[in-house]
Amino acid sequence: MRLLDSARAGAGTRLRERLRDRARPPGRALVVAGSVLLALVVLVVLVAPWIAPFDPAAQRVGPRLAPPEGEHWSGTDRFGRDTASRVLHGGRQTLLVTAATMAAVVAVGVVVGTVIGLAGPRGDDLGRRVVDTVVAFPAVIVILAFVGLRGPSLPAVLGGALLVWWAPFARLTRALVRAALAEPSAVTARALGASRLHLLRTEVRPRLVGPVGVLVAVETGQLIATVAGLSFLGMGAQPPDPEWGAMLADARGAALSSPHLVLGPGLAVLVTVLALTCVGEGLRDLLDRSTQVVRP
Amino acid sequence: MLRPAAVVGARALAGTLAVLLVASVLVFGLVRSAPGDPVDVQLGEAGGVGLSRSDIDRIRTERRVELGLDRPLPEQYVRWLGRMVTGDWGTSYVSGRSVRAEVLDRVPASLVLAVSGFAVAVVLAVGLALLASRRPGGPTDQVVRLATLATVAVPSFLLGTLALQVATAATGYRIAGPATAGRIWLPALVLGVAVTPTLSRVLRASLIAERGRLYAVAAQARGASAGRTLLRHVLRPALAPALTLGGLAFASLVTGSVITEAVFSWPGVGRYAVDAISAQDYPVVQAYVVLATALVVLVNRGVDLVQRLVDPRGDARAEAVA
Repeated sequence: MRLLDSARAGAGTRLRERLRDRARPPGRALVVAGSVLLALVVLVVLVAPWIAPFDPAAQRVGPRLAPPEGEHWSGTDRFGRDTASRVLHGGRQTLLVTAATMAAVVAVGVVVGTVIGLAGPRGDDLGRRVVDTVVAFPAVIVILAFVGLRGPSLPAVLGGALLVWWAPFARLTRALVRAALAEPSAVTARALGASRLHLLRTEVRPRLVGPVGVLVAVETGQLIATVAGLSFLGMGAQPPDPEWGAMLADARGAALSSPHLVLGPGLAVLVTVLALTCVGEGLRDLLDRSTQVVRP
Repeated sequence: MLRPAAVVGARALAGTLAVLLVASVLVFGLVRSAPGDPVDVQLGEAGGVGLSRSDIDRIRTERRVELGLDRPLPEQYVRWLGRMVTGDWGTSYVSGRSVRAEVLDRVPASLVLAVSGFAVAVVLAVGLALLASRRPGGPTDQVVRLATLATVAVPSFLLGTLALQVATAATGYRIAGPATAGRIWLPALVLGVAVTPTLSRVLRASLIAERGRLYAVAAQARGASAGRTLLRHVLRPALAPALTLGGLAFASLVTGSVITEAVFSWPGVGRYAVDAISAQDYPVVQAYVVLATALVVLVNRGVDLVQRLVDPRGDARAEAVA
């Protein structure tokens, strides 16, 4: 009887392990593909002023709504502005602004998460509840509220994003800090009289970098998509700013006759977000599946 | 520690009220921190033509007293909360109609779209998760995963715009007009596709976990085919953890509906909010934010409560997500 039980349990466990092993997706390929794409996007966008054929804001550098051919190889919009030049310059702004916002958000999130993680049980409980509430809240609603009360502009969108986007980082950091401090090595170091600062440097930091990096990649992609989406709705960047979402909104009327106006900025958003998502997902596979944070 | 359901319920209710109160303070802070005095904004609307400086000051003081802006902040907050809770959301600057009436007019259209979108998402997510979990790591699983990844990367406004162009060209889809059955399929599809990845990912993981359980192995050992095991034995218990995603799915539905409604000119609450923001129609913006906040908080807490009653072991939500 007992033999049968253990055999059965063993069979179940083995099957479970086999299933889990096979369920592990190809992280490395995703990271490589995403990084290459991302490097390409960043490179192209960085050298935009030198490779963009025309001034992105200059009107009538070509005929209006020209199809992609000859000098304007990506066509022109209804004001005769060169599409490729606008997509390139728009990317420059998008990447810079997103990177700055993400840096601020990550800094705030990591600091808040660390403080909560180091706090006593009561502080931890309260902090965790607050952070969870903010995480559960749809960022777009908060940003819309912020924009609605301050008037549509790109800074208003980013300001709204600052209000909520730190929360997932705080949640992840808090969990990682607490897990790291519970490790035997950390407990030992503490018993030997190590200071909190020392513990943070030696025990917490190495365990923090990877998972936070994953979240940075994924959330950067989502932030770019959100900013473009809100600009598309007229909430963010305003014309004639060559922001991708705003360009797409501008192209709506003429999209059927001039598909290049949708394809240019559309592909730009798509490739950038896809690259970041691939890097994030791939890294997550490589590191550990347990760092996954689901958010709207 | 197991507590009676009544205690759990009472605690949950108290917790929900606390969260709602905190959220209301935050929204109030956001509203009051907006640049520009509300009175100045209204005077600006009126034009203020031909009034002397002292006249303007006098009117401003009168209006401030009338609006209660001369009172201390806590008192203002309590009054404001009372108005929000009782549905006294003011008058739209644009239409001059009561905001409550305008919002209520648009709720059915939003509701229909959200429900249809969610239905699309559930069908797609269950289908994809079943396909992917049949052979974890196999070619189908990889393809499904890449497809889900790509969907996450396509912002819904882009997906909506492209879908709209294709449908207009291919089927003569018309964007204008009232909310009718002939128009809803496209926005519902776009909304559903946008929500699918979150659902299908968790469902796949939970299907794979359930398939390793003894009862599933036993079913297979009795000779049930892999497909039968999956559909008859594993699918139902695997759906339970996905329930915890209800709150999350709801949040992405609310977010998604703002953009989808705007892209497809769907006459719902989301598009109303976007229009109001463009027009700087403060009372409408405020009502929308209060409503959306209350809804999201309530749904989230409701899902937590259901989850705790179904599975009293505690933080199963974190497990399901991990």
